[in-house]
Amino acid sequence: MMRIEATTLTSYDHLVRPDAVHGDVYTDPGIFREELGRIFSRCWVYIGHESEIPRPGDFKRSTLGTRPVILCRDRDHRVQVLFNRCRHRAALVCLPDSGNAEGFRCDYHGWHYRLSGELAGVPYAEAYEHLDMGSLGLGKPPRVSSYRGFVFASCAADGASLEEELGHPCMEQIDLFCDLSPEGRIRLQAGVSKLAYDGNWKLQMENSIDGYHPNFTHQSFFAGMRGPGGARVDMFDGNSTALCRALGNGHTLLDYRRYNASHAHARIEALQASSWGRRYYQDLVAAHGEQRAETVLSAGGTHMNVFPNLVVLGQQVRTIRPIRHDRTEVLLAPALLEGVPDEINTQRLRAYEAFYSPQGGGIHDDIEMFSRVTEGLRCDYDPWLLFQRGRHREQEDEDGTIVGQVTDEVSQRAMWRRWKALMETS
Amino acid sequence: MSDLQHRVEQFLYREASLMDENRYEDWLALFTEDCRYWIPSNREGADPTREVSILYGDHAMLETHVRRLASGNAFAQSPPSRMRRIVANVVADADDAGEIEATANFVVVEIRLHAQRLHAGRSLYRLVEHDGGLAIRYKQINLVGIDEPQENITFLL
Repeated sequence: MMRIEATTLTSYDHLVRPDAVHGDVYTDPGIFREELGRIFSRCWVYIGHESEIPRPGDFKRSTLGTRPVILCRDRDHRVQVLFNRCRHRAALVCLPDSGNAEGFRCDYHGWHYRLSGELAGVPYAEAYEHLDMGSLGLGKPPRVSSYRGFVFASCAADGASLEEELGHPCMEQIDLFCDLSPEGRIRLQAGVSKLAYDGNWKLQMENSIDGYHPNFTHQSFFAGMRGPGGARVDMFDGNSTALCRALGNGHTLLDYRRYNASHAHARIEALQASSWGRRYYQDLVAAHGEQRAETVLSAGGTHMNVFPNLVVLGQQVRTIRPIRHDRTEVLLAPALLEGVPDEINTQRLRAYEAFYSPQGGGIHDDIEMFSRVTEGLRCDYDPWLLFQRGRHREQEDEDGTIVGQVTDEVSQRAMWRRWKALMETS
Repeated sequence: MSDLQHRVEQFLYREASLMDENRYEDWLALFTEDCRYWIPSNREGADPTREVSILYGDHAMLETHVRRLASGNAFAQSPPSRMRRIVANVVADADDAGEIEATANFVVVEIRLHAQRLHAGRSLYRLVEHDGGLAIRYKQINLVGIDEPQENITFLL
């Protein structure tokens, strides 16, 4: 009997509409498996930052979709992304989360590999009739590329370059984030807040650039800062001048630049209050010029999703790690700035922790909502989640980005458009 | 049992009850105005000025923390966790200046929204005499899961 291969070319019209998404996209294990193939095996996926592996031999473990990988720097100072799986019988060759090593050895049968991935040795090799050592190095995603130290890997041999994939508006935001340093460099060497929840990874993606929820989900944070009555902030109200933007390719931004413009001088003045603040400001002006210094201080970093798994937000670089359709880990690494007084970095850490650390005032209220959504999704009475907010008033801006008011769902719609396009392409 | 050991144990048991019962303001009242509170992240012995913490700060930070939790709208604690914790392995020593160094292990059984979780760690204290009793000048909590992905740990530790 002829076996009929199931074709996997599917339309996702029944799951993603321009203004609504079916609940199955968060709960169906089959869709999760397809995402691993069509999104995480094809897109440029964020792996880590070069500052995490400054010296030859430095490594850290990461994931490409659900595949374990090693990000490391080889003897020639080249950044490598290696699949963490022995070519012999598949055991991990690197167990610690990070460290410095001469190479990677599989503890199961002793096969060992260079930092560049080549197979360096096989115990008792005479027992193999033909062992092509040259073809048995650790696997590597076919393409690895970085922008300002952010390392991405793609399992697709061909396709858009990283810079084409990110696009100018997205790279401009990464520039704003890095240029808070007079040297234009960030350093991810300050530890990582690790969080986990029982729910789909896309709940965190949607939420990271959701300008509608802060005044509700996070009212206790604002009340804690300001006391009773301070439960809402005008930055996130329905009349705020803050914006949200679709930057292209599913990358999205909460854009505070217009809102912050009126606060820029207050920020610069706050820096004048201390000797280290004055030094930071002077160094920033000396390095970037007065206008650029004002621009980066006014922006105060960025608040951006880079599809599918990176968020650059406030002081932090966040990685979203899908584990299963109903399990997600989120890694939040506060970024230190190179070439600034220590006090600036300490201040960044404390500001970050106030909201984003596991005992901080914000992140777990978000995760609480992901739990409530996940439980609510068990009810399929009306399976659609609504994303039409502000659709009638979104506009294309001069730079080709699509813009709306900060509480509009421009960003989620853009994310879902990209998701659908990728899932429909075989 | 020495008088010091007994006093410290009773104090830590009282603190444990206040945390278990989400009595935020009463718990905060155990700390001195010049206190430090620290839950390291990723590894013990990190430098909190250069590395991220799970929580680090002074009395003002704790006030903000407690005010938020008590607001009723801190949704990760609304409804709040139900908890009981065991505090044990208490070791206490007074130094020449009259400050008491104490360490204790803890295990918390916590239930929230029908899910039961276990949390454990070791707390390091510096206690001082205050109003005829003891007060916390320094508290550091080293979680066993210091480097693990944290589920909801927004209750008092």
